Amino acid sequence: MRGKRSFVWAVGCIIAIFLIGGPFILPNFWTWVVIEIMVMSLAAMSVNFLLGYAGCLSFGHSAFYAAAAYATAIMMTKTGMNQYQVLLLAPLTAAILGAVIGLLVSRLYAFYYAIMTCAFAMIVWSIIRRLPGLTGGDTGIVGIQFTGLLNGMTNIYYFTLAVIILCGLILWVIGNSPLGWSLRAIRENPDRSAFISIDVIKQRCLALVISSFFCGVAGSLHVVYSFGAFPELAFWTKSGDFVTICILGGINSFLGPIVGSVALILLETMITSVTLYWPMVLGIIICAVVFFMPEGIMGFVKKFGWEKVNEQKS
Amino acid sequence: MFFQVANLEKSFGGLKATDNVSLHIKQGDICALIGPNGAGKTTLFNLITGAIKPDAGKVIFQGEDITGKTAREITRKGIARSFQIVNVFPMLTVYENIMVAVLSQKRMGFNFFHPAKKIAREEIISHLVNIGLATQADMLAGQLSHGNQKRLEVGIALAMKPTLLALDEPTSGMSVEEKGEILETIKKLIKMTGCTVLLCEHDMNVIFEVSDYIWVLQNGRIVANGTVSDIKSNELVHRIYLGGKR
Ligand SMILES: Nc1ncnc2c1ncn2[C@@H]1O[C@H](COP(=O)(O)OP(=O)(O)OP(=O)(O)O)[C@@H](O)[C@H]1O
Ligand SMILES: [Mg+2]
Repeated sequence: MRGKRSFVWAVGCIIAIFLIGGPFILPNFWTWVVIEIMVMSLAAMSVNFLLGYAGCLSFGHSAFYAAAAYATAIMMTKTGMNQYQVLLLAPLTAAILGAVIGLLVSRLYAFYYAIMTCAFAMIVWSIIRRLPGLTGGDTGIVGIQFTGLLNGMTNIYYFTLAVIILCGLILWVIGNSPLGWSLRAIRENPDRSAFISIDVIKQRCLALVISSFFCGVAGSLHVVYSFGAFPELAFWTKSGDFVTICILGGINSFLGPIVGSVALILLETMITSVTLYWPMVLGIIICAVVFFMPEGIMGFVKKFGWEKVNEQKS
Repeated sequence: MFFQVANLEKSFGGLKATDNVSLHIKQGDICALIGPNGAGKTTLFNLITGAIKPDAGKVIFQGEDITGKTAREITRKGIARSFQIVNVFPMLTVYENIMVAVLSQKRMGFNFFHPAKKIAREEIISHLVNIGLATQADMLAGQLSHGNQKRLEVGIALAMKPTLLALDEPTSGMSVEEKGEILETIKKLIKMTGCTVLLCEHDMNVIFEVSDYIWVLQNGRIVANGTVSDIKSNELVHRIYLGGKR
């Protein structure tokens, strides 16, 4: 027990030092990779908020990600708004879209939920492509420059880090609140939940709104580090990436989506530099994970980490 | 009248599972609903608690028409139920099963910032002690023995602090000893909380021991009703339900 705790502390400290030192320790290329990982982590955490607590598998989060990204890009280029105001308002666009979609899908379960959310993402994707005047059509909106605290790699890095930590804490608090536990009850047994007076549909809808808001924060950050918004962000395969990360990291773990993002993006970055067959390699890795680690990397670590520690103790 | 059902009807395809049922319950009574398998007892429970909607008729609780309301609304008004077939939250611990009910009872379902595990600990633990599951608090509900899952079933209903508690065969599938124990627990809890009870149960000894009033259901109809002595001496009940056994 004590051995495990100090091990976790040690790992935590090393990671913290790396994160704090980030741009000063890492080469530029890897700093950008870490920024990408952080943004991906937040998007995946938002998906896992819905999947892990409420048991709702969404393939529509690319819509929220893109909605906020485009809202950011459009407000930055077409209005004279302050960049911080933009970054606060843009995720709300995603949340509003989440509320609209939530009203329509919150009665659905499992497969039907996944398909319907996916369908809405496709609608958003096609709308984005059909409105070139507003969204830049197939090319998207490029060359967005932020200033001050959001200008330059080092600033972007620390801004992203701060936002991700803040959002992670908020999601953690919500997950452990009565709302979070009601969602778990609904995940476990929606029928019985109604008999303890839980408003199942409203709660599932609210879960989607919260989730879409934080996915929107990630979408806005995407614009900050990539200087643009592109239609691919809305394509359903982007949602697929988020879900893949959750499964890879472990959906029953709060840190799962972060671990999954680190694993996926590191693998992708390293493998694409040696071979063009990244999607194939990814496919094989996912098969292996699902096969050998049904609870994802975190599930695997928890299970074997625990057993190892307990063996040592006795 | 505290609780009343009037001319309730429900058909499944051609089958009249509930056929013009009228019954009433006095406040503070333990009221039994008996009848052979397939008589329509669970269907009646489902109609009363909002699991399904009646084709016709009325359900009136504390002077208010609650016919056709949702399960959530009816539970909020004070009717909680347990299920004949175990219906708990299997991957949550026993503590968490009671916790989600208590939080909902306190209308905290939309509170998103308090740490849930720090809320109402004493109350939850006292519920666990009451139903005899305090030592299993950290076990997953799905890993409990069948008997203990049935206890939890009742515990979740009681955590809603009901004024009318509807227990659908709380002892089904239990061994004789387990049955005796859970019935003692239930009797104790009914006395403690003072709630009115609608109890469905196959064991006639139990029924005769605890009931204040009995309703007999057969083929979806109420065929007899009365106090324990009325029912004990009712020839029709003997023929259709007790099969002559005394
Ligand atoms: N959802 C349903 N669809 C179709 N038929 C149903 C449904 N629910 C119940 N029934 C039928 O209604 C009749 C009454 O069933 P019910 O479960 O209410 O009986 P019960 O008195 O609770 O029996 P038991 O003592 O076995 O629990 C049965 O014939 C059953 O097959
Ligand atoms: Mg039944």
